[in-house]
Order: sequence, then structure tokens, then C-alpha cells
Amino acid sequence: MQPTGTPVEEPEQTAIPETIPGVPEKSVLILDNLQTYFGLRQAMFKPRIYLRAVDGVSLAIGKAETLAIVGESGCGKTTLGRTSVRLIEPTGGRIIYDGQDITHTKSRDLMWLRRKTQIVPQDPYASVNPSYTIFKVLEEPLLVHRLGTPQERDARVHAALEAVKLTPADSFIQKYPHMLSGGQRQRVAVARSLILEPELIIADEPVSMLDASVRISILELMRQIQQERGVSFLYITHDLATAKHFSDRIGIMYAGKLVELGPVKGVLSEPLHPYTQALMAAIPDPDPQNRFRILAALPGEPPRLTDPPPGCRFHPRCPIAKAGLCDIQEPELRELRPGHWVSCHLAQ
Amino acid sequence: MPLLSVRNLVLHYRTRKGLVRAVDNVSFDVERGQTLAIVGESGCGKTSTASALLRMLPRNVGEYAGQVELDGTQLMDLDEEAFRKEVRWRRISIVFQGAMNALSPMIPVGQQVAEPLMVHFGAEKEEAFAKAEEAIRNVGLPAYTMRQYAHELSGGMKQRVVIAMALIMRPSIVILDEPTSALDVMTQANIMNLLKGLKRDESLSYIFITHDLGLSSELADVVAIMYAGRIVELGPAESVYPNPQHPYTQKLLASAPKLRTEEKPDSIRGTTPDLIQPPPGCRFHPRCPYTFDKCRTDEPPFFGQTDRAACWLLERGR
Repeated sequence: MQPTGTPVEEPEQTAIPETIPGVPEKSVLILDNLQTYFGLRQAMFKPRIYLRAVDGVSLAIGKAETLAIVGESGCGKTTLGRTSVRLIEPTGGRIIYDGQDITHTKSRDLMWLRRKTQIVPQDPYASVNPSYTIFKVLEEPLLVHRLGTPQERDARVHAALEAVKLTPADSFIQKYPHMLSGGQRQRVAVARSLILEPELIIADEPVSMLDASVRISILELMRQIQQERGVSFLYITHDLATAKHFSDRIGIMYAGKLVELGPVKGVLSEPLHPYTQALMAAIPDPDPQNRFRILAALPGEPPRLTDPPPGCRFHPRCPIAKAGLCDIQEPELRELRPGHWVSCHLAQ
Repeated sequence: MPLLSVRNLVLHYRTRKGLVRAVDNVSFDVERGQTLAIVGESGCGKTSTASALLRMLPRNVGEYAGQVELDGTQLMDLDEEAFRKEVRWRRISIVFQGAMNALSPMIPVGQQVAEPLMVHFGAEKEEAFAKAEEAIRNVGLPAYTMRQYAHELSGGMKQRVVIAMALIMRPSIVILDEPTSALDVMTQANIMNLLKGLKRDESLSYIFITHDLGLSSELADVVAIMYAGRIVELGPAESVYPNPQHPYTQKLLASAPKLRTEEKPDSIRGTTPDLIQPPPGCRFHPRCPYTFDKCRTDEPPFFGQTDRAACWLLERGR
């Protein structure tokens, strides 16, 4: 039986806008000047104010690529991830999935998108239903999408558990989540995201709750799944070091904007935006000499997104900001190196 | 003579499933003005070590023993009243993990910093507030922060308030239990700079508890690596980071993704052991790549001079 909401005819292909920075050869998802604002009412008769969580982000995720979105908390990275698959309604801009504009599609016509895109949430203790056995946790998406006979579903659950190396699968399917460790639960969450064989997985801080030794094995697993199955990943994280080792391209977000985007090697060996440079300087690698120096940390805090500063949003904290330019004119993303884009007036 | 000397510290918890050996024969020294970093994964007993030192114990304590000597005083001999009056907060204080979220939303933070001075140490209100203001300024906050409420402050500012609280009695040792774990990297860097400055200016000693090896190197003069309730390696930063002796330390270092080198991070197979029935012999042997027969049966003592590690490989003079 076909799942409901599958487009019957070949959908209309939307042309890729020319303003998207760094479009890969084949892209699965394109965001064109995406905006997500949250309206806040402060008092009954006061006008609404808007929190600009995502404010004009354009990017494209390639087929079988991992794009990491790195930023501090409150920079809009989670909102970006959720808006890009229409779990939050966008305020402006366009979302193009596989050539099809889905910005305004009614959500009941998006069941096919729910099957093609999946999410791996942050907290494996909160995201897995404690009263379900692992089998039920993994079978549920198949039931929702009315896929397969009971035998087929059973086979798919087993295959998914084996794919995330929870083997032998038979010993896990009747267990309850509380019987598993944090790392095993996160493997279950990854298995659940795989069971519908999606094309794009949004992994929102998938390892930040896990211990160092377990963290790497989950990221390795996701990398392997991507390479074997050609799945695209949007890896949302605050951790530049894991983004470095487990993604192909990196986008750096600050205060609702994409400030730098490029291949991992380019961005981390030659960070062009002063914010990226500061972020890198703030992360220590183990070194006994570290304790004798003072970290080059930026003063201040990121701006409030209800009232972002004019011009470049980073200018109040920027060590090289130029008065009369950075505080007035908003910088645009420019391609300064092949595939390496930065939005800074002064970067060269 | 070290400022703090801990010998064979034991803290076990009684649970329905059995005795949890959270801290099992832990020994270390902290020199004046120096920082000991205790590094390990969650559940290795690092926070329990801090609770044991400050004698802040839950009700289900099974065994609590060992010798703790602070600047000539045997702390384990003191009764609860003397410990509370003379030691806790006055000579050893702590910045709890996530303490910034425990600030009261109803009371201005200045009053919260000053309150213990009045309640525990009988200071007059003016004196307590003056001291609190000094402490607030000392951590790089403006004096008007005193009158602000917790919700008006950012995470980094709240963490500074909590550090001010820990420093207000001018203790000689401050235990920092994951002091930046809920903060962003940039804020974390600012807090680390503050802690470094305080250490230098006031010759404080820290016991810095963290799971992050990279971050531990920001403060550590001496590093203790903890695994399953035991210290498995203890040595100066100069040798532990570049040249770790214990296989667990080596694996832990290899599992941390580095920003500045191309070295691929490597995971540690298996999971951390159950502290109710820890594996016999060396507790790391089920996950260790070099295990041989002796590891499975006999507990390794410490080998080595300055950088000491509890591993049988070192006996053979690898």
C-alpha cells in the first residue's frame, strides 16, 4: 500500500536561485533566504515584537554530504534545522526539497517529506518512549506510514538494529529503554531515524549528552551510514572539533545569520570570519602549556535576537570592526576562496 | 608538606542492587597554589570524591573512610559541627556543577552571596554586604550586579556569581565541579581566564573536576585520571598530556577530537563498568587493548616515579 500524501505526478521542478552560496553538484535541500521569526507579545496592548531566530539563511545540502552547522546556544541553529523540514513554519524565504518548493505546502501533503527526512534528537533519555519496547519504538514509524506486512516490519526492525550495531538484534527488541545505556539509547534513536530509509537526517546535537568515549562511536556510525547508504546529514552542533572530523562542509552561525560556509579544511585551516577565529581560539586541545596563557576570548555576549545590532551583528564584539562601515552596512556572503564563503566586510 | 593530602579515601553507597563503590581507595596530594585536575567519564566517581572531601553525603552512605589532612588538620577526626564551622566553605569550598541554575529567582544575587556570612559566620549585615560586593567585583562583575536578580544575568554572569560565593570566605582550596559544562565555548573561555587570574593573584589551589581533557589542561598542574572509582594515573601535566602511561589515559586522549591536528579520534570499545560489581583485577581490562592474564585476576599497584600509573604493563618495563 502506498503511503498517503505521496505526490502522484512528477512534481514541478523549481529552479535553483543564483544567490545560494556554495551549491553542491546535486543538492537534496536548498534554503533560500530562510527566515523564522517568533512573535512575542510583551503585554496585552503592546505591539508584538519579533525574535529573529533565523534571519535570511541561504544554503544547500548536497546528496550524501554532511553539512555541519556550528554555533553557540541561541544562534538559531536548532530553529534552522527544524524549519528546513517544516517542523517550524518559516516566516519568509523558500525551502526547496529535491527541486520542489515545499515552503507553503499544506502539512497533510507532506507525509512523503516526513518519510524522506528524519531527525536524531539530542537527548536519548527524553526521545525514546520509556513504556515501549525497542521493537515498538522502531516499528512505530512504519505503522504511521503504513508500510510493510508484520513480517516485513519485523525484518526491517532487525536490519535497523544491525545497522547501528546493536547485535544480536533479538536480544534488544524486547528490552525497554531503561535497560540500555545512554550510548545504546542513542543508537536506538539513530536506528529509528534509519528505518524509513530517509534521504536526509537532521542530527541536532546527537552526541552532546554522551561521554567522550561513546561520542566518537556514534559519530563514526553516522558517518559510516552516510557513506554506505548515501544519506545526507545536517549535523547541528556547538562543537567545532567533532564537526571537523565528521563532516564535509561547515557553516558557522551567529545571531541568526550564516557568517561563514565552506569545506571543513578551508574553514578550519583558514577561518576568514573573526567570529570563527575567536570560536577556534576558545577551544583548547590538551596541552600542558595551556595553563600559562590567557585564552583570547571575546568580551560580551551574543546580541538579543529581538533587537539585533545594525550592520554586521558581530560588530559590537568584533576585534577588527571598522566604525562607519561594520556598524551601518550589513555584510553579504562573498566567495573569497573556491567554495569558501564569508560575510565580513574586512575579510580578504 | 602538601596543603591537602588524601589517603585511601573510600565512599560507597548502599542501593537496593548492592554496594556502589563510587570512590574506592583514592589517594592524592594538592600543593599550595597548584591545581589538581580529576578527569574521567561520567560515573567514574569524580563528583563523589568531591562530596567525600566536603563531607556532603547522601543518606545511603555505606562506607566512608580514609585520611584527609588539610594544612595539618585531620579532617576525618572532626565531628560534624566542627567540620561545618571550621572547614566547609571556610577552608574548602566548591563550585557545584550547574550551581548557577540553583540561584534563587526571588532574591537579589548580592543578598544570596552575603547570606551565608550572616547565617553561618554571624557577620553584621553591612559587613557581609561589603564583603559580598568585594567578591562580586573580584570576579569581574560590576557592583550593581548585587541588586540584580538571577533572571537578569546571562549564564556566564551567573557562573561568576557562583564563583564569588565559593571565594567569599577566602578558602585555600576550591573544588570546581564541571564549572563550565552548561556554558558556551566563548563564555567558558572567559570563565577559565577568570579562574586562572584568581589562581595567580590569590595563590588558590583548585581541584578541577571535568570530563574534558582539553579543558583540564587549561588549569591542571597535576592530572589524576579516574576510572570506575579508582585513580588509574596521577602525574604532572607535563608528562600526562604528551606521554600518558596508562592505556585508559591513552585511549581517552585519542578519543578527544582535536581541532589543531589531523589525528582522527578513536573510540574506546565497550562501556564503563558497573560500580556494584566492578571487573576483577584491573577494572579497565575488559576494554583494554593490551590485556593479558595477570590483568584479569590481580589488581595493579602504581608503577613509576613522577608519573604514576596503575597498570601491569609498566611492571614489565615496557
